[in-house]
Amino acid sequence: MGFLLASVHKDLVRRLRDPAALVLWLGIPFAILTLMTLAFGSGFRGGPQTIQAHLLLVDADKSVVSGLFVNAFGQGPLAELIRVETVKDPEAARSQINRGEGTALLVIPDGFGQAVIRRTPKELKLWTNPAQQILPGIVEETVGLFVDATFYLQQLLGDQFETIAQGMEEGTFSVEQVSGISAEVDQLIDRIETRVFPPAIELTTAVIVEDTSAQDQLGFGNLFFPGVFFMAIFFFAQGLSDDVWIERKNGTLHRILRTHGGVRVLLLGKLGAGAVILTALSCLSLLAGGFLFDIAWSRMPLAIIWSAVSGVALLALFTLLQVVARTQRAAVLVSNLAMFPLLILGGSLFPTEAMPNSLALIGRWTPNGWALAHLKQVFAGSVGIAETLPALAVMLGMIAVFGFLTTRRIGGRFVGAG
Amino acid sequence: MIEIQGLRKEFGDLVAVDDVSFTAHPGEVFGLLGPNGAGKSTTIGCLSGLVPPTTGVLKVQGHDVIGQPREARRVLGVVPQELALYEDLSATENVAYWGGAYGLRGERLRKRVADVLEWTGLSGRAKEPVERFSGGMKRRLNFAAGIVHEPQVLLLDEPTVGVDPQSRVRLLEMVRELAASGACVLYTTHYMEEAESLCDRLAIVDHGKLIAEGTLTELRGRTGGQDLLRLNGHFPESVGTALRTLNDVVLVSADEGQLILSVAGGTRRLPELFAAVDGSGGEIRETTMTQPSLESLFIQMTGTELRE
Repeated sequence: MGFLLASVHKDLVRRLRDPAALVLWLGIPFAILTLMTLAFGSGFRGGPQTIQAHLLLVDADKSVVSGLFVNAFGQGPLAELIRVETVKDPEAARSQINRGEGTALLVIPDGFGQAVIRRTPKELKLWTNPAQQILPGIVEETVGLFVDATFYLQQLLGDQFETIAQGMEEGTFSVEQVSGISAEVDQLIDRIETRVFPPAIELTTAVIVEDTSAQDQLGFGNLFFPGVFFMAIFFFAQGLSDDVWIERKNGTLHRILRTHGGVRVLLLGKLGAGAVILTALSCLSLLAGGFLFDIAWSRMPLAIIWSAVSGVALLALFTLLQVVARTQRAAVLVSNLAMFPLLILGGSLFPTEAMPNSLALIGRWTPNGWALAHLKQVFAGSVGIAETLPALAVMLGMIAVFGFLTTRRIGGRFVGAG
Repeated sequence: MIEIQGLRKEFGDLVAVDDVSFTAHPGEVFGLLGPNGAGKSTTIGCLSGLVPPTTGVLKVQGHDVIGQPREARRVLGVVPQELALYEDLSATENVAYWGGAYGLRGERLRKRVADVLEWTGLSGRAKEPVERFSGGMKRRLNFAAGIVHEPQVLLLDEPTVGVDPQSRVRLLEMVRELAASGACVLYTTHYMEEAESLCDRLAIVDHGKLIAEGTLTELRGRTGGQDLLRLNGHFPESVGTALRTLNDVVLVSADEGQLILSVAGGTRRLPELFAAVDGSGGEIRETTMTQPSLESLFIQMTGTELRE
């Protein structure tokens, strides 16, 4: 027992004296997570966020017509796509758009309302932010649509507009004028309704309500975080596993084989040191995950234990792969050949939820896929200690088998002829 | 005590050790002398349990290395030919780790670590990482790691290879002190002078075979008091033929550029030898005569000089 602790201590000290490697192993997967988050345009918390254009609008006309024009941006789905900020001072608005603080600036000039009613030309001015790629185009298209709609209204209701304008100039509308305009507009709508809104297809809709409760719990972070976290465990396990080659190169492996401590204790020491490091990694990562992705704190202890034991199993697997190879270069190839397919199939690069069913099924049968699925269940609260204990026993069994095979191999062909 | 009976080790078609037998006693330094590739390290590997022998019996302090490996390893200390240290650990951490590997614990381990570091002259830099040590210091630390548990049998596999003269002297002193304290030391080397100055008894091995064994005096006696004469120059085959006809002259090896002769009578025979060479068409450019020694014995027995 004393030498086992000494072996654990020895490997821990050696690892801690190379902190750069630990940081790099931790950094690679989290860099991938950050890039994926940025690429998908989502924040860390909750689900996907809607991309919104920011339209600065100067209404110099302040007429009923310009008011209708401005309010049109706030109607229906357009309100989710374009956020309108009304600005009084055109110069201030220009400065703001020049600083890149907005998608576009629309200036409605004085007399716009009268021009629409009188059917005379008037110029709307739109400045767009060249630093943005897509959103200015959306604003430009929308303003164009509004201008077209205004044109057609002018064509259809031009006479009525003239009557309204005349009444506004005189400051009063007679009852006959109001009822006349109303009747004309009503008739016009009746006349054009069949053309504008033709009942070409009668659509019957039925809403199928899916059970989305499970998906509701899996936001972007929850969907990707466990996989990326397991990727970090993979990198750690693979990185730690090549220590057998360092020991071989240093001659310490040959030396330990000549002591009565033996290679079994050396290997147990490596797994023990790996367990300490992987537990620390799990604590750090899962606590960060808990903070960023709203994972329930009460599930953390079990998640940490499960992750650490899974990591040790992966370390044992990779150590076995290292000693199976005849050279260190071959060992790197073998472990990479094992790691990347496992990462992909096991759901670390792409969530199994997003995979075709057949691939997801294969993924769930990989050791890491199984471990990852269990971790997600722990996060979701659908499994507890009682369900995890048998799984832990399986994991420990895997460690024992991998360790036994590794010890046999080290004691045999791996050390060479001496 | 080390007992080896009929040791043979094959690696495929290659016979690395061929029917080697010897016994080394407590308190003595037993040298295995031979060129690189002679089978010395393989013999050490078999003895330490690292390399399974093809056939043979190997015992350490009465424990069968194959049948009782744990007992054998407990009394065995090994200082391997190559450095076997953790460069990123300190000297203290290294020695403590290897002490632990040999079963030392607690206060005894701490005391032994301090003692061996003091003894090897490393206590002043005990806390420093080994990667900062010079080659000689690493060699001494390698030695300290092999003896921290006070082994009754110590296997030293060419411990002075690549060591500066000062560290070499200190290492040899330490080996003598260990033997004086009662340890049985098996020392492999291909340095003749080291074997002559250090070893109480010697076995000469070449191509896996043990070709001579005994004390230094006994081995020197086996040269028959004959001097070794090296002639460099140009020697057609007729020269060898002429020299073989002379009394008490043994032609150890002959090629076109060099002749090695074992000659009774030393310098008195030189005129006769020179005349024989000259008369058979040879030409001598350089002559070297060596007194009876391990080297001359080795050359007499193998027909070759000790290879590096």
